[in-house]
Amino acid sequence: MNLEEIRKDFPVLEKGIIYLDSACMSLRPLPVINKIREYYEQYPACGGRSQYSLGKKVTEEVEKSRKEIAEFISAKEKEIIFTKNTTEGINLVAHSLGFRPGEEIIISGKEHNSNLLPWLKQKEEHGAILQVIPFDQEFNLEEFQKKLSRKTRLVSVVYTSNLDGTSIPINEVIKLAHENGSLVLLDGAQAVPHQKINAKKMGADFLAFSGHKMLGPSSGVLYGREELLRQMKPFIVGGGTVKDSHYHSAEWDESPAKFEAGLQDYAGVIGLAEAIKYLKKIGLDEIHEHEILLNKMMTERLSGKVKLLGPLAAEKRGGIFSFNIKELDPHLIAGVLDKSKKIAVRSGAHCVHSWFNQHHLKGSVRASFYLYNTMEEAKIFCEEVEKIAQHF
Amino acid sequence: MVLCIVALPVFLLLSLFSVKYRRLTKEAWHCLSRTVMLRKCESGLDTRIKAEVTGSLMSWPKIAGFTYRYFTILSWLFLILLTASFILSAQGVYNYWQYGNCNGPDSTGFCVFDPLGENSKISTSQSCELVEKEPITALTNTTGFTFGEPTAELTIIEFGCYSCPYTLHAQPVIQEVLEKYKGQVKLEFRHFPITTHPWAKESAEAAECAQDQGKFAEYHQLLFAEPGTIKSEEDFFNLAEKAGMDRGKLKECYLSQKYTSLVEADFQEGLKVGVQGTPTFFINNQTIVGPKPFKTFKKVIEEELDKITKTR
Ligand SMILES: Cc1ncc(COP(=O)(O)O)c(C=O)c1O
Repeated sequence: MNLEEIRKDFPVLEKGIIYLDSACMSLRPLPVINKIREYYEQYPACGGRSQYSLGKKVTEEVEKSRKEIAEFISAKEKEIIFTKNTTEGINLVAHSLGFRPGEEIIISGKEHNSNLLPWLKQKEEHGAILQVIPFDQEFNLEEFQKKLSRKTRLVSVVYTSNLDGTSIPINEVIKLAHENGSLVLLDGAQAVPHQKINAKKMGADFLAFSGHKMLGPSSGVLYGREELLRQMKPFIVGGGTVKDSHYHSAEWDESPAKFEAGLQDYAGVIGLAEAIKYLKKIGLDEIHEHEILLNKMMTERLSGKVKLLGPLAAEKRGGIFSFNIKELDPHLIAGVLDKSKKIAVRSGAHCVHSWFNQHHLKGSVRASFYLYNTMEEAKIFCEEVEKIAQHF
Repeated sequence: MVLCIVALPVFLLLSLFSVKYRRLTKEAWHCLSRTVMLRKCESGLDTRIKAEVTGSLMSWPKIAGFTYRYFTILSWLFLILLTASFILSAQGVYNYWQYGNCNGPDSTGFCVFDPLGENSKISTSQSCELVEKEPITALTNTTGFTFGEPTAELTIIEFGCYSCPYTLHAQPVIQEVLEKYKGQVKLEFRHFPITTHPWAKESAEAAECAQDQGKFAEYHQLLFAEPGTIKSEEDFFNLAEKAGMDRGKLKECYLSQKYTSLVEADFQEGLKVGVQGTPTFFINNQTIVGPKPFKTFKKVIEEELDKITKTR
């Protein structure tokens, strides 16, 4: 991995910013930006419905992209639905499955609001029941097993937590859920950008993730098992979702078309495929290794000086280093880091309010890295954090 | 909280110049009135200010830490200083407007609006002794030359020195005063030659000699018109010629020291009423020292004219 070369692809880094908020939104490399530009400059037309050459070019590029994305997670093209983001993917599943009173949904205790609120809505509006499995340092498998019952229709859990980087033992979770006859939805927002995922082998029924956390433009993907998607009703409907319609009836198209209503964000889709090419070229394993290396150094240097969230072992937290210093306000720490060395970190509850409320914490400061972060940057970050820990 | 009190006026002032601060002003107001409900991922204005300030001090971590820990106390201090300086500046602006100096009517101290102190300068006579100030009414034996219409009701008495740059400096303002208040104000010029200034006493005597030929006013103007022209006694006679006077007569008068005692008497009288430098202006019981702007004269003159109309 040639960091120097990689960093040249991210023009924003020239400003001297130490960007440690990739878990929220990753930076985008020039090839991706150029690809988006290419769409707007060379074939800025409708896809999937036009007979002229520009339109056909869009259709071709979008389908090529769908293939690229499908291959990236070892899925079929039919199983890839383009969405706005992870959140929309999860909402799609929630609405399309349609819950009835008494049906149970199991989530973990460390869910992003995007994988909590859609289910809370099902609870409030349709009487579904929410079961929450404790997930602190580790996901409580025992408790999970206990909570699984005939009533459990869906297990919707975060694959890798955006709060502290911890992951759920998904193989066990999927196996147990399937043995129980329950469906599994994985919130892969923090997993897909950082590790190789084989959807088919993994066996999850749904997997939602966001393009903007993996070098792509603002975009999202929902993977769903072919048989399931075939049976499911569409969520948002409109242009592109039907084969034919009459005043009083409609014939839904097949998946994924029936789930992609209205004109799509073609530049987003095409850009995401380009981002995936970029990630593949560098290698996800290399990226993962690099993140662990940085995280290990930071953990060794800062443990004892800060209150780390999650397990001590860096391998268990991937590219996320979430912490507090004494009783200092996390926003203040983030503000000081920004002012002193242009370090961009996230502070607050990271949209995992429920977990912080349960633990009576105000929030944390979160540094998250990606392929473009250097050891040098990590050291500057450590220095500043040490200063705050010692003198504030 | 205290931070929001500090932030509000500061941002309000800055918002006059930049839209960015209008938003911050609004935030400071909300922060003060506690009308914001912060979401988990938002930081309050006070936290942001605190982070900005301490963050910019991180090159000196100890100072940054100190600032962080004593932020409330420091904010109060800042607020007090801010308020004090605000009041003082307002006072300064008022004084400048009224007297031409930020520090008040009689001050010669530094004033930002007048950094070189041009409005306040006076030249002080070296021979000056501290003398009890007598009432201005002691100046009864009017001997000085009077500019303006003799019927004018209000008299300004100026103690001036021909070699003094500040007396010179005051000339245009005097001119303006006499023009604007023509018929109402006249100016009597009394000699107060500063002893250390070369040719000061001599110039005064020469001017008095010019009056023998009825040309005081012209000679007076010429002495000021070209400062530094007097390098020898001959120059006095040259000036006389320039003013269309009889050179010989002036020379005779000057060499006979005809007016030495008159000039000396003026000087003594000046000392008696407390003149310490030139120019010093007396307008009834009010004194203006140094070349002040027109508005300073205007204020005093209007007051005195008012008194005259009232007593009528
Ligand atoms: C674990 C997790 N789930 C869901 C989301 C929501 O992603 P998006 O805002 O792209 O829909 C995020 C984003 O921070 C996340 O980290």
